[in-house]
Amino acid sequence: MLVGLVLACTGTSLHAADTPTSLAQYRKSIGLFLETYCVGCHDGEDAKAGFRLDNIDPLVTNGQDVERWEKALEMISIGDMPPAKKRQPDKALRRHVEAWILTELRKIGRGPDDARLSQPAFGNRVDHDELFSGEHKGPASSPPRMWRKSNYIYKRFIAESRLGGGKGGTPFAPLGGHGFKDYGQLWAGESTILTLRNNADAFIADVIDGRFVHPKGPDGKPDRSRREREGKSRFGEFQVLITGEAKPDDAALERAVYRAFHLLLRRSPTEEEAKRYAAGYLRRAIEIGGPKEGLKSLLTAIVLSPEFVYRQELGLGEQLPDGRRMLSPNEISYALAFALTDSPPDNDLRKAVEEGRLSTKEDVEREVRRILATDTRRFWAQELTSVERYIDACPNPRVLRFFREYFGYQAVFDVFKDKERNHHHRALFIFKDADLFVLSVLEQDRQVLRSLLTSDRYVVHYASPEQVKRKLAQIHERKSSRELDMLARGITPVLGGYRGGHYFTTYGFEYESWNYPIEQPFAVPNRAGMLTHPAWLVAHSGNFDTDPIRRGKWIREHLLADTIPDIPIGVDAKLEDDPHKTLRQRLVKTEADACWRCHKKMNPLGLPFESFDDFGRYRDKFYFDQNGKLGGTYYEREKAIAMGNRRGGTPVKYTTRPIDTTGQLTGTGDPKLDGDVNDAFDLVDRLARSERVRQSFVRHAFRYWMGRNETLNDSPTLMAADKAYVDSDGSFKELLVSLLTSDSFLTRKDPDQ
Amino acid sequence: MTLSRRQVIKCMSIGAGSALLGPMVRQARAAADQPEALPNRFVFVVRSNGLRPWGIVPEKLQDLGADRHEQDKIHDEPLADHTLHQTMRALDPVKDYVTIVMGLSGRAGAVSDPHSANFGALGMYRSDQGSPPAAETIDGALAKAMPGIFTHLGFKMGGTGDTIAHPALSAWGKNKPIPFYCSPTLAYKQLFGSLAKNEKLKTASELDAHLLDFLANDVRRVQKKLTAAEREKLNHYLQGFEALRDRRVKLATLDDSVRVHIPSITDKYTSPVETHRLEAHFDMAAAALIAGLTNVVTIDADDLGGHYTGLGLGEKSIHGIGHLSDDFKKGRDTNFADGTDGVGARNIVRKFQMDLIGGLARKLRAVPEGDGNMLDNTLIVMLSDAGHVHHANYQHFPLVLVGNVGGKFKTSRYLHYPNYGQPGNRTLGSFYLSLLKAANHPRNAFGQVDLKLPKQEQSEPLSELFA
Repeated sequence: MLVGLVLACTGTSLHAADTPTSLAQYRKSIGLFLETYCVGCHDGEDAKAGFRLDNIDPLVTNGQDVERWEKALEMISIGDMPPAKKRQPDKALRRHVEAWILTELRKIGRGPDDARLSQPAFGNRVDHDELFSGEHKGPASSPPRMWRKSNYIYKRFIAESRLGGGKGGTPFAPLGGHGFKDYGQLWAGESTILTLRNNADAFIADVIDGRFVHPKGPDGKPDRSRREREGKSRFGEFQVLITGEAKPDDAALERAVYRAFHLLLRRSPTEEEAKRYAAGYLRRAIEIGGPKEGLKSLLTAIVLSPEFVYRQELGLGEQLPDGRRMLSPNEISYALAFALTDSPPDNDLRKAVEEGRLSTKEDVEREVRRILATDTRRFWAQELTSVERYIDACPNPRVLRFFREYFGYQAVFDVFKDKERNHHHRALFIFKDADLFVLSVLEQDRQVLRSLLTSDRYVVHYASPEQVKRKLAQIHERKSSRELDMLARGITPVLGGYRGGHYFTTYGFEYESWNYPIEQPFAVPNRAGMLTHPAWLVAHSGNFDTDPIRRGKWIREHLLADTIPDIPIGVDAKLEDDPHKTLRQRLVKTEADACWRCHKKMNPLGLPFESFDDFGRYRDKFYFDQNGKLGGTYYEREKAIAMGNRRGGTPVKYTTRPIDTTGQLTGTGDPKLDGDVNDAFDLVDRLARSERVRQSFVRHAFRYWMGRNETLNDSPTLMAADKAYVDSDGSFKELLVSLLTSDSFLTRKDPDQ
Repeated sequence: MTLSRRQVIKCMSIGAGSALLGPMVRQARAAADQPEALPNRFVFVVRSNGLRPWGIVPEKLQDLGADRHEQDKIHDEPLADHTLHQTMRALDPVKDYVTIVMGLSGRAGAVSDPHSANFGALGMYRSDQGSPPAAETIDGALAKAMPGIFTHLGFKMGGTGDTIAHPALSAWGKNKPIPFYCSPTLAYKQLFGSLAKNEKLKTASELDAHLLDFLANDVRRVQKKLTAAEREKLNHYLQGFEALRDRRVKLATLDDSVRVHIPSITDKYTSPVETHRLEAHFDMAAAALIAGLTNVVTIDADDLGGHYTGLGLGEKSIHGIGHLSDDFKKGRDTNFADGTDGVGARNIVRKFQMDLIGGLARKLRAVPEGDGNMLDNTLIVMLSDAGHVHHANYQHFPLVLVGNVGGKFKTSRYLHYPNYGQPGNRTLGSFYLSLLKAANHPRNAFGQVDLKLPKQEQSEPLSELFA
């Protein structure tokens, strides 16, 4: 709701207010509201959370209490205050007070930042219950827009078009911070132009001056010590212009434009475009710089054109009676292609456009189902050398990327882990395991979210049937006694396809004893779903510790569709180091009145995961040395013991204490699920049964595929998607079909109309 | 056709404006009996993790830099009697130009995220993480007031693959962030690459103008069908073209005198070590200033996600270093494996940055300009986007200034204003007003005001800074 209100108010002056707050207005309603609902607790020196409202300056525009008013607005609008157990104002009064505070703050250029609230992390600010209440009938639509392309699309273009010069910087920087990276609000600026141009110089040279070759040496054979461009374009349409002596005619120029369009935009120019680019642009460019420079300039112009940089979804299709416009068939083909893949429309989509078979929802549904009907198994066996490279092998990479960004396990690469503490840790491999876990669940396509939250059937160190066969043959051939011995004992040795140590020890498997499962996925002990997967656990951990706060925050925001308020300005949120205390003990600091208001939403959800260390290894006890200090990881303890046992050393002895994994689930809206939880397994099981969790998942899928935050108008789209998911026994494909055939995806309407 | 030096200089003054001219050229102009007002230049060096007061106070004034030190009245004393902090020894040779300013507050830029005031640090307005800028920043404002061929030059320490970025630091105005070069080689190409082949430059700029006009029409065609917000997106894109075209046109007017300042590319430019690349950025900043290519440079010296591997501190991220305690005993269990603690790590980083600033200052001082040298007309401002600590409350922004603005500032001193909450506390906004005044572009407001402090003082520059 706040988003709607905020959008209604425009203009942020950096200077004093023209119309100061009216005291009469304040007294009439706002003062009374504060008196009735707030001041009871937020009064005097001992005010709750140290936050007083009894002495707040009613003249907001005076600016003496701006930060307090902003905090009050935030707490009222996300529904955190008044607390659930206290008397509640009705919805209309709440909205009225919100609107009043916001209006007053806006007068002095304060209040929440619109641009910030339109980021995916703030999507939950729209009231969840209202969204799924059925009261809001839409009609849903998106604004006509230019959605800046992602770097993945750009890289895919370079790879697929086989142009040289694929190296170079990132022209399309992703959205920063946690969460979805590819969002409709991103835009291109000078940095995009410079990088794109810098990169394009290389591949344009490749097109116009030819590829690098080894010139012939004196002996007539290629001289491998030299490398130079061929000197001629491999495209006849360009070469003709370069060598042509007479002034080129319009037809020749148009042929060059046609070729350039196909190379860079993968489509033919329209008649108007052909003329504009040929006679209008290329001719003059050739006059200025000669044929070569002119052609390079033409290619640069296309690379820098809005179409190359942006996905255009303007709504050029049929106008509906209520003023909304459909995307045109051509727009739909691009929207669908980039919704699921990083490539422009494939042949089938293009053909459907040409034959007039891509204008109705049924047409869209047919194409979505066709694109989604792919097998991901061939991707499973890809040798993993880098994330960028292997994404290419995955059909519909954008579907997989949704799960990466939703669960946030891609952050596994950002968390630095000290080798000394666990030399087996390999971020890349546990990341791939997490990908394959997702894909194995999607392959079944039944109760997808529940499986992702609770299934213990992981894919670990995967080897394809061919790899298994080859490795077994190698073992027999090598006559490796250790592995043959294992086989003789009925244990399959590790046949996994990744190179790089025994990273699988993270799951509790040891090389010598692990009976490697050839059939995958398989049941892994002490695991349940993504939140106990090492990739998620590491991605949501610190350099040296687990991170119950971050984990709790993730669950609160991603599964419970709730909002954690901003940290108050000036809070030094740092936990003191104390090697004698467990993290749970150190977190007691956050139970102070002022902190607990927010931390109670996070800590009790994150603490059950203390049964895993910060590498994602399962544990059931803490080790303390004789000085009462925590013992660190297994490898650190082994090292300390070895050092202690050396001559002159002090032997180290460890005692253990069981880990407290209890926590509390609140906010599911279901009294049967809310309450104390015993451990992580209990927690994820209850989460998986929650209706609100399922709806929260649907909301995030909506954001990812629409590239924007939901509004109350999108309520029908969200409810339909949720219903499609439930009716199909939790099929993600059905959820996607529903989203991509929705009005929110297919229609456009100016917000100010 | 060969032009005489006098003709070249005349052409340049028409084509580029005097503010663009390199000091060498200006010397020649003076010889050609065309007295010229000297330009002002500004270099902002912005670091993350806070600039701790204890790390910049002179040795015998350590009490003033203590964590909970409360300053209740203004403290002003010359630096001549003091030894600079051990990590600032690189500034010893230019000590006459050093001013340490403490106690300025920046609550108008306070945000919930304690790690950075984002655009607010240089803009003095509230700027939340991930939001576009709400208004111009001081470097943008100065750059617009004194445009060079490169109106503004931004350098940012980034990863090896990064080429150019928009860190949340500098802005031309609302929704107009300023790009920063991460890749030294790309920056070199943009700055000096085109100078090397002047013959082709004219054609290239003509082609560029042709390209821009064409694309501008193309964009307008699309814009017609868009809502206001989307139109603005494309406006950013158009402005990017315009900036590039203007630059090309101005570069085409330059003569050979600029070329002597082109630095040569060294291993530093392509080094995988981030600190080497930062050194390359400082080299280019010096060269660009000396060659007269720009008057305003901002260097984003590090960011929280990076690592100082080149300084032997790669074990922790820069954010991780920020979390280290200043107290050796408290932090001993999370210190570096070799025992380096928070104080040590901060000293290493600060010394590295001060060494680079010292190097830049010495290079500028070595170039004669007017009656003095370039450092007399160049002010280097070092600050942190988080004020004085890693987790900031934005109540204190310590500054280290090196250089002067045409002799307008009284330098070589330690100036400590009363703390936030004490009468007489002054704001970073007032400091920015001082810069604008010194650059002969006075204003009475910059950014937002802290509504809790007296308004009148916030509309005035810091008189104590001026000679």
